[in-house]
Amino acid sequence: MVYDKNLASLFLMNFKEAYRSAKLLILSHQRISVIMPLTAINMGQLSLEEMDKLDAFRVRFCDLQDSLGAKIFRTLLKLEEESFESQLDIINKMDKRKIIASFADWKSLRDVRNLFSHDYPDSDEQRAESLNIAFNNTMRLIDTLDNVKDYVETHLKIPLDKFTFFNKKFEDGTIS
Amino acid sequence: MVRLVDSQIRSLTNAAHKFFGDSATIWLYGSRVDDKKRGGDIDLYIETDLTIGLTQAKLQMRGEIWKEFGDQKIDILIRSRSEAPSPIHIIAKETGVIL
Repeated sequence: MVYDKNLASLFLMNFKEAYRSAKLLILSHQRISVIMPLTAINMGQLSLEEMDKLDAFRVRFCDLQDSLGAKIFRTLLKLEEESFESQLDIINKMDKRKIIASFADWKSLRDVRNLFSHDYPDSDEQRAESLNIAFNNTMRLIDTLDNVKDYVETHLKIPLDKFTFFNKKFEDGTIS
Repeated sequence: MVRLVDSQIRSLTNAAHKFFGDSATIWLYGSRVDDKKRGGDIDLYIETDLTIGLTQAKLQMRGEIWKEFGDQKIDILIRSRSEAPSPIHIIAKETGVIL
């Protein structure tokens, strides 16, 4: 199949941006691993530097989730000349392509992301738990982008081999 | 007056009790308790006897109520009764309606 040159360029630009977010997220994940899991008590004892690292992690987690949900999935469908009517429709099409594990799985990742974007501040206990949950779900987000890469390379024959995510995943979820 | 239909109220109270315990109380506050407004976000405030795992319970509740509410914006504030209420908790109780 011959793809629209402009749509292919747009997809690659979006993928590059998501890949950058993913690499930075992996870096943040590594940097905060020494202070995880958080509790309400140690939240109150964090240094400014540690708070800075947690903020960077939070923003990067949101950036990657937003990038996938709002840009990557959409431009992938446009590239394939597949129409969609709603976000729900887009997610179902990603499920069909095995890019996400299931609709419910992706929705739960979006809910984790939205823990950081509601209208009123949480207690330290809840903020700590939100960051712990995001920390524990980071690999699922990275895997989703990795699945996009596999799909595009396999089905669309667009090489993305210069985008390698990480060298090794440990069983405890940390990344090298 | 609560601007939610009965099935939505049932869905919210069932999910709140399922994930935050039978003693949990749920308030609706904000624009959905204002007769003069239309549509709007759904603002909920839940008090629970749980002291840990509140965020995980909130995620589970969101997963449960999704079928009833779809992509409607729902903001859920949670307070463990073991913690002192913050100003927004007090406002939610004073201006809200228990579901």
